[in-house]
Amino acid sequence: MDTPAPHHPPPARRLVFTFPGQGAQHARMAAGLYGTCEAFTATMDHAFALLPGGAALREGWLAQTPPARFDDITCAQPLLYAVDVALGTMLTGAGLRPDALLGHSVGELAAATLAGVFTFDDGLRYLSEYVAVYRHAPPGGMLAVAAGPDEVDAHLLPGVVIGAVNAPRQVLLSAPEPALTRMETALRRAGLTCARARAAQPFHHPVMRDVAAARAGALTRLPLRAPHTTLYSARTGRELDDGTATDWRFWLGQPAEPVLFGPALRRLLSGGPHVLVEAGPGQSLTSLARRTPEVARGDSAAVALLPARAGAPEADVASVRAALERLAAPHGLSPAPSPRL
Amino acid sequence: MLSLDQLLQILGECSGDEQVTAQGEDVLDREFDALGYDSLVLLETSAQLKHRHDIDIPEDVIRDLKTPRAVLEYVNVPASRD
Repeated sequence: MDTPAPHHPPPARRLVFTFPGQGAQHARMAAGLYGTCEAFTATMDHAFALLPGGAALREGWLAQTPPARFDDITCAQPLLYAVDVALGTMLTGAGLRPDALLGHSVGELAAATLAGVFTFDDGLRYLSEYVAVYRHAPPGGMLAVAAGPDEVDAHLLPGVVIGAVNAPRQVLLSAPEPALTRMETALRRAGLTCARARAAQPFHHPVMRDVAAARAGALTRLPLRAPHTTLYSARTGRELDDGTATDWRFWLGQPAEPVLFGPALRRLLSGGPHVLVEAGPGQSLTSLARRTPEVARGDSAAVALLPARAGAPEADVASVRAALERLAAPHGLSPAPSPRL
Repeated sequence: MLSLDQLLQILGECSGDEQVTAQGEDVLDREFDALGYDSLVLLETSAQLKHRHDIDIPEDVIRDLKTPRAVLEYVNVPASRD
């Protein structure tokens, strides 16, 4: 007679919130939740009250046709930070407790806010000062390339750097103009597939260090606290220790340093089964996660809160509802988390 | 003719998967978003289809093809393009 195999309950999956950065913004991102979800709305209104030019930012965010400068640092970064934090706050308000947080680029500031490294008010103040400094960056941008860092490295023209490593075959190059356009032409000629990211400045490029140095002292060093929730860093590619998290040099250096989101994600997933929830517009980080062996095999899962692209306001609400229902099952949360939509 | 397995093989390689993770008929109607294939992977897939199979899917067309079935139908039923 066969002995029944001993029953092993599946190991508890750790819950991770991920936060996208520059490039993920789109017209009316998450706006379907505004006025519908109480916690999301309150966080957004708080941001608009505190950010310089908050009323104009709100108007640009809600416009059917976004303003011409929507992808510029002055518009995209404060809105991304606010939307990421508002979504994260909505999730915690609904009873979800993340075991870890991971953000991409400006999304790392949202992750740090949710981890308690700085308050939302201090984050908004830092971001407005940061925008006032880095808006003086030379015009440029970022270019997504379907290739690994080693392959791309051989093609790099002077003045062009790898600004982000997102996946084994996805990097973002960063450069001021006209180097970026020249780079794009050269890569296409070499048969590599590339696409412009929605950015008007060369983020994660060393030129940002000069931009900041020319305005030394313009960035207030607000109080920092050790994270109360595990914080993975797309800057270091690993878990952030308390000493680094509370060192302003680490945060101030980010705009000039590359983003290692891919390596950070792989390291996080190697630690066991996780459920990743993308708390931001679009599904770029979920898409990267779904390509990892851990998620593809089903050991870990990736859930996006919002639709992949802009749609009707009802689509945002329906998407959040569906994501929360999916999240309720593996976590055995009872009753199912409800953000009072 | 392009088979589903050939398409999935290319998608897997273009996304950087070491193994082809999406397999079988059940992925035919799953959206590329849900499979983790973003617009850059689809652009690279269109370049590889041209390179390996001499199949031409313009960039603005592949953007609107949401599932493996939609790509196969576009490629294998040229009449539907008229």
